[in-house]
Amino acid sequence: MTSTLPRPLSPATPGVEPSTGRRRGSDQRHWVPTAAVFAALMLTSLNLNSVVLGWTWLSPVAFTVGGVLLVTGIARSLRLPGLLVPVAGVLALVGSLVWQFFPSHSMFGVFPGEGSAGRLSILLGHAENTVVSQVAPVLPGTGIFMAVCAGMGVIAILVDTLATTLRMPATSGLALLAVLVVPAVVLPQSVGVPGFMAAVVGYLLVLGSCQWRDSQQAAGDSRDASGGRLARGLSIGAAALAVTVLVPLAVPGFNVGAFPQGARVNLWGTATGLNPVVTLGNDLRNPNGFGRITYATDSPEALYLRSVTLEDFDGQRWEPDQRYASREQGVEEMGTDAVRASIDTGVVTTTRITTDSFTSPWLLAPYAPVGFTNLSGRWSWDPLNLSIIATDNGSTAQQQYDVRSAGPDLTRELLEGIGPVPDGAVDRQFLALPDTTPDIIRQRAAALTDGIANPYEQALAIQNYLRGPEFTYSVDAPVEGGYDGNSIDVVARFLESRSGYCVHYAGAMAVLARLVGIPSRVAVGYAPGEATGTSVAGPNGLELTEFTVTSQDAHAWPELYFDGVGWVKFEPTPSRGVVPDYAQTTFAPGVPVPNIDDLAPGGNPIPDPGAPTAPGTGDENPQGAGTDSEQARDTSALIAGVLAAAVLLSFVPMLLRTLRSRTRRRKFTAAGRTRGPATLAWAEITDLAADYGHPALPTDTPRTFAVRLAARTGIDSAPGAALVRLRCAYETEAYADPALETHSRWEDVQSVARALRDASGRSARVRALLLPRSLTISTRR
Amino acid sequence: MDTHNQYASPIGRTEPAGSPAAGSEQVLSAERFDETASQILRSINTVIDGKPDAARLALTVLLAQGHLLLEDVPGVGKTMLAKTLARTIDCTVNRIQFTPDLLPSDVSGVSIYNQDTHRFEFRRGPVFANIVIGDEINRASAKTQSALLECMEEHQVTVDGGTYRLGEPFMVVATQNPIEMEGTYPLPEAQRDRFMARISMGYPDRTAELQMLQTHQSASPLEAVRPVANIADIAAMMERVRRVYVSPAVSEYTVGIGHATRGHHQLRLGASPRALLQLLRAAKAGAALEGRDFALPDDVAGVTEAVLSHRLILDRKALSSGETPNSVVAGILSKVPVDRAAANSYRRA
Repeated sequence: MTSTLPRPLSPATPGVEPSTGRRRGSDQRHWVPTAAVFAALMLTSLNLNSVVLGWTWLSPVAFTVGGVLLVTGIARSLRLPGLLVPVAGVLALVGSLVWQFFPSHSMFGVFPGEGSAGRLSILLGHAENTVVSQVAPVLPGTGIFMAVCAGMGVIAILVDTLATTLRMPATSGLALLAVLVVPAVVLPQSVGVPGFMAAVVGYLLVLGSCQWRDSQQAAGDSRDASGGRLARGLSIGAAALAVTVLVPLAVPGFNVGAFPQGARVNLWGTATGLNPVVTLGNDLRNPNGFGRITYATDSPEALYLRSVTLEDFDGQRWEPDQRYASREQGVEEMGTDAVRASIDTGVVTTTRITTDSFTSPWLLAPYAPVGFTNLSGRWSWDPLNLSIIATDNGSTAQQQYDVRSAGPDLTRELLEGIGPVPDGAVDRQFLALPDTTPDIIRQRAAALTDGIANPYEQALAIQNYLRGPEFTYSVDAPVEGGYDGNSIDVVARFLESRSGYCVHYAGAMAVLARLVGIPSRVAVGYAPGEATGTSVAGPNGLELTEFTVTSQDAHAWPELYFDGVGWVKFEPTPSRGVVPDYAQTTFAPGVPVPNIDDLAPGGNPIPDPGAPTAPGTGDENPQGAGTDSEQARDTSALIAGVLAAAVLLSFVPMLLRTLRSRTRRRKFTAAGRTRGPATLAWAEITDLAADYGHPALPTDTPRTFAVRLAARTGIDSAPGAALVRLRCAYETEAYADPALETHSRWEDVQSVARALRDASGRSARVRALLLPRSLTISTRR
Repeated sequence: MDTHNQYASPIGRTEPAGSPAAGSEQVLSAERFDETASQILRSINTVIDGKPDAARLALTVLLAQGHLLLEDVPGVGKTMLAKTLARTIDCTVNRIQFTPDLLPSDVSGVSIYNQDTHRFEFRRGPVFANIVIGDEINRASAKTQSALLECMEEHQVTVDGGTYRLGEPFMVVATQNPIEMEGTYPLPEAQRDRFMARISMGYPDRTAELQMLQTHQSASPLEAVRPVANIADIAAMMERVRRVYVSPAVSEYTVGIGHATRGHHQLRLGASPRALLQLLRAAKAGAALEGRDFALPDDVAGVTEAVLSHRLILDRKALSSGETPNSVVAGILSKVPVDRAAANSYRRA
């Protein structure tokens, strides 16, 4: 062993001393962060209430998360290697899922046994069905419970590993954020301030407990300092929370919710599948249409492409049918006898559809499809509504198929001659309404059809009321007004506020129609897009006109049942779609019907004869157009404002840092040769070094710090000499007889600053400029 | 690393008004101090190959007026280092080979009845010298060891009612072998405290050993060593060391280290106040050898291991887990914050 005079210059890493199990109890401190992680996850999971109806999911989630964390905690108590702890967590997760969801297919209740895989795929199928077919909040069910529990379990393992094993509690916030993102994306405005606060409180708990653990484990004298760190960590978190809550209030327009929900991310990513209603709303709100479907048809009119029909109205929401048992397999030849009859008597259309990235379990087709060719995958269809769904987990993605559709040739005269639907002609469910239907809807239905007995006239009255000047088209108003969705209450609120988008118009017309005795349902799909101007050769030598639709054309429209002709579509949404010939009318008897054929088939609306048409907005309903453009302006202004604020805020650290540097330099010049200038110069050097990622440690002497800085950055020659001069001057000023003078020059500081900048990479330089770390180093140690 | 001329006004050129520099002791100029120190170190390095740090520490202890304990296995040059240090200085040197039958009077001296004068006369023992080399000090009985240790502490010998001052400077360089335990009386911890620093020489590296084999072939290089300084020079150098300025921040750092040893969970015995006093004195000597007239925290940290580690007693758990006093000292140095006050002042700047 050799004693050496100069102390080793690289400072030993702090906290390397083995604790050698000083206290038995010290091994159990990890339970505190584990408990905090549990609390944080449960607090954050409260936000899931907005995507899953009710609170029955809470106890399975608590059981799963609690079980996983208990096992990881025990694994730590048993001093398993760090790598094995998450493995134990995964095993615990599997065990708890088996215990809860398929005990009858398990061994000893927790190990997957025979038949588990089958049961798993059934439950996953349920979950997928729920996610795809229901509108949030979805109804509770075993499948969705299992999916939520599995997701929360995985997040629990992630948060626990980050916070406790890897000791990166701050990063664990990202995993908590993942829990928040689900409701925020699925249902805009669903993450309110209380839910967000709950998540933040949970996060602070994790941060605080980890700080406590670290301070407990730090040895000896650092206890008081650690207390400071704890307080500092919590105060930073609390400040961030305050800013998060206050900034939205301060920034004009940013007043909806606490979570950045304005983004309205499409959960389905690049796939443009049509999750009914809400995805539809999200698609419409996306300023840039994405996804692209092309279709080519021999129909003289642009077509509506239907994906799914919402007909099950239990009062909570419009939902697709659940008649899986009665579906018929194979779609080469399909359709009920009534529909097939019109192949000979009515209008037959051939359409070739290219889906590209559009992904959905439901097949797009113009109503009423009677046969498909060139379609891959297995598909089944429902006799009652002819909706087509994949049976083998297939989807519409990357398909090109031909579809034949047939329907009676609908005219005003034909429809006018049809009387009310006789009992039993159509399933009762198409007339079902909840008992809780608000009076405003009943009164409105009665008022609209007062004195009209003919079902077709009644339907027109309803459609024209909704297309009337009182109503405006807005994709944002329902979200901002808190009535986005399609429940009966939403219909009532829509009729009061008279602003909404296709889902609301279609839902309202369907409800009003049912109230006056007309069977109705809501079709979801795409409005006619734009003609591409090209023709394609179709089957049997047909020449097909090509159209293209994007997510912006996502649409919902009502279909009403008329005895003898079947389901007939109407278009109550102003500024969207094309009103069919038979559904056009005048507001006053005797006024001629506008010629709809003049309209381009590209989703161009009916000009409203009752309202003035502003120049330049010919393709939009004036009210809707005005509101839309105002909203667009508001949105742009909001985005611009937020961006400007963000840009300004991002410069604040730089300004503060520059100010500090300037102040030092001013004091330095003023100090002259009295005591102080070397200290100022050295303070600037340590701050600069911290900015570039080389902060001074509390155990650093000026000398060890300078040597390490020079070694890490490769500073030598002139800047190296400047660094030595500055260090010697500071050492003299700090440690020598106060009577001694010191000599330091600010040019030396600048020389070292230049050398530090040159020695750093681009990202380090940008960070040093915009987010100088020296600002966050406490002035008290 | 850096040169003293980076610093302003060394002692000897600009004396702060009212400082105790006006004393009678002669103070060496910085240049003369440097020159003498380098000559001594050069001389030692010609004899002891590859151990410049040990040589420097030995000189540091001499200038800080401490005593040195050289502890290592036989044959690594402990005695050689002690002898060389003694020979570079023109002063009296005595060597005592400690054996189990050595008596206290063999160290300190004895009163003998003079038949001619009919009086008892004190015959001075080998301890009366400027540098006393105590070889294998742990071979002597505890009684004899105590006699030497008293001389070290008091710088005087009291025999039969008479007190005799020892020469100044007075330094004991003791060697001991920690491996061979049979027939030895290890120094109790309390007595090790009297030594300012302990040096473990360690084996020389390959090159140095090769060099040593070649140079030591013909004649001992020790014979060629000539004194480069006299007693007056050394006293002046000591005076210069005494005047090295210690700022409150450095004192606080020293106290911080001391407190850290006392509260340390792996130590049964921490550093005594005397240890801290000696730590600071050694740091001052280190600063002077670097050409500075003020001490830095680095000076303290640089000598902490040598000054403290032989005084610390590890608890059983730490011993069984393979800790050594040196590793504990290194751990403490990596935790004790440097200079809170100064750090605050520049943070606020």
